[in-house]
Amino acid sequence: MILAYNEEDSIGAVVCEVRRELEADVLVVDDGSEDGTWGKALQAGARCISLAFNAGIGVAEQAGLQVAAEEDYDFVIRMDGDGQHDPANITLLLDALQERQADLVIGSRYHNGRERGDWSIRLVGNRFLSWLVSRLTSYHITDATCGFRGYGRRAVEAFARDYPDDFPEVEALMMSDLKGFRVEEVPISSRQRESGKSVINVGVAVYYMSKVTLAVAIGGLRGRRGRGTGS
Amino acid sequence: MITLIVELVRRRSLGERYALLWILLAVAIIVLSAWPALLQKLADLLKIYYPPSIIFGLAFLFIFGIMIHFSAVLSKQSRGYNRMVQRLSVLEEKLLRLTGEEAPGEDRGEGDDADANNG
Repeated sequence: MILAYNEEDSIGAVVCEVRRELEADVLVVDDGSEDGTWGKALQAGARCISLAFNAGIGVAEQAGLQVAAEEDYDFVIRMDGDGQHDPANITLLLDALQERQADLVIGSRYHNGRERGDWSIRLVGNRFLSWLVSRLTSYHITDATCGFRGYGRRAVEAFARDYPDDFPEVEALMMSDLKGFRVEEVPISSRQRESGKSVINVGVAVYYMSKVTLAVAIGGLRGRRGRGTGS
Repeated sequence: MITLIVELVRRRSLGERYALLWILLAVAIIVLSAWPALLQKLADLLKIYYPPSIIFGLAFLFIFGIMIHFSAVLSKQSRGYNRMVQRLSVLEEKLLRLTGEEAPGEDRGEGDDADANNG
């Protein structure tokens, strides 16, 4: 499952690369792009569902998971459409799901403590959230915001029903903990975006941090009182 | 204010549910303004030194409450929109696959004004 928003320059290449890497059904979820992302994805041989407007990454991802749940897929790997995730790492994630029965597997760019000297806003935020999640859950997480992840059947079904609308990565970990999911992190290599622009700027970063921290904190309360099934 | 509310309801621009709330507020303000003795009594009861501030306090509390209520309604509506756009996209993909139709061209998505990330 490849999530894309205005990635017409890279989406075709990403789809082709994934198809070269392994035998799998490729679903592109187009989060209301204004460019030709949809057509490029189909051209490259992927299935593509397209949201009518830019509804947020969590909404797009959940739509993809709903397709997977409906069609009884056992494993879903989620990656970004901008080419920053290397399809060669998919098998690492799949191994964790298949061999070690993880419900949720997360690719970690910082598993080996690399990039220690980097104090960019993105990395500091990531570190804080990883620390927070590791404190509040039973997991030890080093890259809580990484979007390169995989879901087993249980997680596919659960998240198809109930999933945060935007910036879902960290909250998904909290929800996994409540549901008692097995979560594993595997080291992945990271590479530069092939094209397009990162959505991270200071404003977005501040909103991201505040929203996710609030969601995580309140998520903890919910856990104690019992969470509704959501819609 | 009451005239405005009644007119909006008449044009079906405003649902009765909210109209009732606003009319109640208007009536409360009118009653308190037109009946200083009641206002004075209330002020004595609540130990409020300046009686008209009861009116302002009431209006403020009401506006505060209704704003929170609107935030909740908005959140619920955006959740509804999101569920709808998900269903729509999944069904559309299914339909296109079943009918084997050509994909719409690059003009897709143009004219969409709802491009904000509603969280």
